[in-house]
Amino acid sequence: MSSIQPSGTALLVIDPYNDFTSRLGKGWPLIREVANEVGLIDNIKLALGEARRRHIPVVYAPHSRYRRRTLAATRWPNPSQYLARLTRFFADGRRGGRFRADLAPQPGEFVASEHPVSSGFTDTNLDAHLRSIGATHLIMCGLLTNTCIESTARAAVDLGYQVTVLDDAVAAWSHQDHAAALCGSLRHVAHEIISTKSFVTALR
Amino acid sequence: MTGSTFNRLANRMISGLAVAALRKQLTFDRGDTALLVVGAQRDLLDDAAAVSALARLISIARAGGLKVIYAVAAPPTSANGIHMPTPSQRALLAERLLSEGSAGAEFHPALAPGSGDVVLEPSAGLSAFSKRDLDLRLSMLGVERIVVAGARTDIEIDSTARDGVERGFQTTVVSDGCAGTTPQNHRATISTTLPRIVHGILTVDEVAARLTPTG
Repeated sequence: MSSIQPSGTALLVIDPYNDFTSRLGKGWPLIREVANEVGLIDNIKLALGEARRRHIPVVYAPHSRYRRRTLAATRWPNPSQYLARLTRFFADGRRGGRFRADLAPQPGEFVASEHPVSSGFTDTNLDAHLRSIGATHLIMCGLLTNTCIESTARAAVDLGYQVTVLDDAVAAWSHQDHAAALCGSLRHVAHEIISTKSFVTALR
Repeated sequence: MTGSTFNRLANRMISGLAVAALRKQLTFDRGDTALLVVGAQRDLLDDAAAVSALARLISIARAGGLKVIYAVAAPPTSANGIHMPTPSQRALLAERLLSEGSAGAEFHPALAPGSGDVVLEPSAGLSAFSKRDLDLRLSMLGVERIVVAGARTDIEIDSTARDGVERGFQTTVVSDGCAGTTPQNHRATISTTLPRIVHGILTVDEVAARLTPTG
């Protein structure tokens, strides 16, 4: 049984942008397959609601939005960055680059600076903020399971955090991607993988 | 759980497009490329095929004038800074793998560093970048591209390759020069996970073919 102490714990929400999570989002036609099967949206909402009720800090780690002038900034874009540029994913100032309304931060919640690749910690103020609030245990949800979630989880482990991933509050482009992380590598490198319901129960 | 035909085909096409576009940029020059050999120790790497492929890769890299850097794995003990071990780290501790001074912590005899190679301070993190040593060496050497091989594909190689990409290095993982915790985990990381993350996944022969000729 999972044990979660509210003190020292933070809920880390990664990239709940409209392009990933809403019906008109650019990525939704592919993501909906895993998202609908696991109940992604409802489970992120459940985790958010419970964290807020228990006064567990909710922290957002957003991916960098598409902007014209960042085009030349990365010398070697990786496959995800290459495709994001091509499709103008998470376009700044557009619907796709805004958080889905019912998964968006509430006033007072911390939104870290944008991460350029996959890990929420690279070139951002996320680590400094988490340390400043005394968070040592991160509960992670959001997108995508095998890229930003796994990269952020791996980086968090090497920074000394305890990492729990909510397995039904994350999703990926395909079942294969999702399973490679959740049934494979993440199982070895995250401290714990639990359902959103177990997270909620563990807090009560 | 295999997904709809639409999802499978669309993913294959989209991912294939990015992989093919980036593959064109993979060339390795002694001036800007380093081979990063991760966890080439007996306790982590005992797959005969991977060992011989990696040994071949190392000699090809040396002959091509690439800098060869060894990232050494240390046991994930609290003395080494790991206070909350993950399941992968707990497994190493339970079997007392990589214990300091043990035979298992030594380099595999076929993969020992040569006199011109760099050997990093042992690191207990998932990623070889979890100690600053590697960053400093790479920037001192003017490296912009890294070629990553060794052990273990799904644990240390994955984290190290991700960190390489995060830091702006063009990052290539050598599929036959790596071994995973199990052959299935190796395959899942090489064929499913890393193609979304790294710039290239090549075999030893493909790396050799993309080296700038010396001379």
